[in-house]
Amino acid sequence: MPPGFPGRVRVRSWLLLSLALALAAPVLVVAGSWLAGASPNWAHLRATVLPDYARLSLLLAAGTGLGTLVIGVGAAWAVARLRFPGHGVLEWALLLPLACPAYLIAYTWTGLLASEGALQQALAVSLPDIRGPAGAVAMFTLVLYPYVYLMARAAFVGQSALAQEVARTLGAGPWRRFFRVALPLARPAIVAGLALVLMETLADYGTVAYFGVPTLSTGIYRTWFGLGDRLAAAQLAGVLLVAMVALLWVERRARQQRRIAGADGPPAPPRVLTRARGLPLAALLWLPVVFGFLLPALQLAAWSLPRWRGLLAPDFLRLLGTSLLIAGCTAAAATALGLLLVWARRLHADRPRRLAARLAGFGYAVPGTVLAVGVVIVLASVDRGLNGLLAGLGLPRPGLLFSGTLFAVIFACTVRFLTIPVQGLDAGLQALSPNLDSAARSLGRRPPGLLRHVHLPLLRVPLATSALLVFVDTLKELPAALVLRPFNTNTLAVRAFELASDERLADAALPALAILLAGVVPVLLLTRSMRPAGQATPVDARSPVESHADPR
Amino acid sequence: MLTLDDLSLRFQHQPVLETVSLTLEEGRIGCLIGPSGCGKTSLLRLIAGFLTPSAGRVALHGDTVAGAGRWVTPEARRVGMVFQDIALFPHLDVAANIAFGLHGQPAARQRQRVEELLALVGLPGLGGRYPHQLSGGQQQRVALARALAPRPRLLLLDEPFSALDAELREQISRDVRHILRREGITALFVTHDQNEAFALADQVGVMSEGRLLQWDTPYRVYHRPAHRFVADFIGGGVLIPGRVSGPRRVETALGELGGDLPDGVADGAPVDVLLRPDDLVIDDAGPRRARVVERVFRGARMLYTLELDNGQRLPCLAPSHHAHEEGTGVAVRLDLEHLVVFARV
Repeated sequence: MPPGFPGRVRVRSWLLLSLALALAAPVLVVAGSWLAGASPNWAHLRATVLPDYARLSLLLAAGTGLGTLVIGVGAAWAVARLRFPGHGVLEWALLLPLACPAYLIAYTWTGLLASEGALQQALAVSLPDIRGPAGAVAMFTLVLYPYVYLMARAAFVGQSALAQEVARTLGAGPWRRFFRVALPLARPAIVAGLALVLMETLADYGTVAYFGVPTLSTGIYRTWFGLGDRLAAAQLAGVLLVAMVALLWVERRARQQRRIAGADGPPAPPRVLTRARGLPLAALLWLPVVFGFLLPALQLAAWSLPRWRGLLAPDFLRLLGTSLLIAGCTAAAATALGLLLVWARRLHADRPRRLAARLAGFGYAVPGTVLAVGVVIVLASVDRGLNGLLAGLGLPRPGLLFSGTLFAVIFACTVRFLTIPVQGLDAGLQALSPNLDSAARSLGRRPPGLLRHVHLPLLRVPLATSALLVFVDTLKELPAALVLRPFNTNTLAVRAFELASDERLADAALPALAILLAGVVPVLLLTRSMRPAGQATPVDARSPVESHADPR
Repeated sequence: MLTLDDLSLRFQHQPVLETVSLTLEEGRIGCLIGPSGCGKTSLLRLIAGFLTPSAGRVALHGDTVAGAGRWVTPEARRVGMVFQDIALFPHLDVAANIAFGLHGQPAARQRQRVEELLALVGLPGLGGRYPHQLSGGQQQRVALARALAPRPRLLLLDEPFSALDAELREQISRDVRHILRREGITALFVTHDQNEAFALADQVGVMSEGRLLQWDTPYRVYHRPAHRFVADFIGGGVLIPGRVSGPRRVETALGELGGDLPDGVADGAPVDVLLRPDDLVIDDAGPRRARVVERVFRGARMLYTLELDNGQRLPCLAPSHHAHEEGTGVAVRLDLEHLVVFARV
């Protein structure tokens, strides 16, 4: 091996791997809990609650998977391939439920359907109680289908007209073309979206806790705080981790297949529906937006209205400031770290760098509660070490600099959501010909110049998308914030959940509405990346390569 | 100018290139040709510095840039490259693409050089366009201009015309040859199209399974193939069986032929004789009878497939005004300038 170049590369590779290991430390600490041997409570758990936890988790995953698949794929195909009244609005409106965390819509719907609630009064019929597994599936479906929609839509829009036309010449009708051509071509994208949905479902704490559905996720929390057995809790999380890793693997594979599936050629022109057929379709497509966003938002607004003065209360402003600070820092940190890891692997895909990028995706697989334990363990030992070191040097002790501050929440959220920029930027980079890099290098640009002059401008959209997604997800993150927030500090999500759990639904509305509205802004910005190349402004006209959600 | 010494590349213990050596003189155009997977693109990427050789040496103007304990990064090699997928920067306009390699120079100098190159490649005034607003041929010209802008010591072109349609391809490749000649650029091409190789190159290298089998002038690669694979791969000929019948004599189904034999073939040894489509002439006075099995109209010429009495099939390129129906018999004679014989293995 020649000296110089590869040597420097190797040192950097190990530095990157160390960074990734540091970020994965909370996860590794939790996974390592299995090394201690099964907890004494394990046999008891297996004999009593574990089968129920597993059964209900699977049930929720299956139901939510099916629901998001039907809504997400159906809506994506209709929006990508058909034109009907209100198409332009619906295209982005379908993303709105993404702003709404499941636990939040869960308690809003509970209020909506309650016997003294608005719907019950208006309809004068007895409405079902949604506080159960079926209700949870409905809630998850309503807020998670945008993941499938987003991925599938990009895939359908990117599909060339050629495949459709070939199918037509072979005598395939519209249904056959959908099931035999469009759907299989989009399948990798859909599977990738679905894997995200299932991971979110299995990791959810707020909804199932509120609905009293015992799943693996709440089981972990109960075992930890109820039974007081952190080891058993971590080991229970290990079970969940296996399912998550399997989903991650599925998602990765799907992403790889997606590169192959991208057929070249201009996209097919959409079909314009008559009003008679377009209006009913539009009405149908509005349903998930109405149930997943508009109705809950209206209910929250109705509850908030009499309390609007609370908006200006210092308490509320502090809550808002803290939440925005955490979300902003996490978005910046996760995007920067994700870019570093993915880009370094693009430059030189040796083993440590590949491992580093893969490690970065694991946080997502760990439910917030369990990740929080890991973060506490890791940061507490860092603090101990630091205090010991400074005391040894005769300097003042900084106290719980990391584990006792907002840093802990930001760190946990960064670890948890790092996978979003890692995967988004990876997809964005894969859409760029490796020869662009070669061209820049042969024209005398060193790697920093390559990043600055080629990759960053071309990754603008995936960078913005990743940062915004992390921002929204951090705002919505409940369990990690619940466990890790410093004393006397609160986030919007935690406050809303606490109030709702105390059955103070109306009081919870103000922070809940704030989460919802803050979440809407990035979703609206996200929709800008959905604009087709033809309608883009001249500056954006470079888009075939740029439209992030469309990695070919 | 460009020297490769026993260059080898292994990838996960699979040999990709094995002991490749060649020299390309200043201002000459070389061309590597071979079936896909033969390692020709890997060889270009090794020269450019995107791959690291497992053994051997790459030298430019006598400076070792890879091997013998030295390694020069791609950005410091001053080797330009034009890619199969063109790879223009989609976020930059044509002028900025061409100026990409001129960073660090004063803006006025950059502008002047961009103008020069736009004129050179025949696209004056298109500096403000974006790559997606150009045709495939225009994009390829910009890619060439971009690679030439920093005045590289060597230009590498990886199947630069394969993305273009046939008509455009010939036009552009002629233009490129003209530009390279005029600017005195040393260039190394990769192609799988032998006509392109013959039209462009001073030196042609035929590669197979990671080895460079012959590095020679186009004329010699065609008429004096040094290897059975080269004979087979180039020029659409066939190898017909024969037997050594004396010193410099080979007996074949077309009669006894005379010429150089490879070293070490004994009297009576089985050999193969190379026959090109233009070595066989349809002539009513010819000594051998053959039957027309197939014919393909090629405009000025007709490509016949003839069958001898013993079942041996031979290609024959004849002027197309001699039209012979399929199934009819013709008389042929050999018009062989020199004999190419390979020992049977």
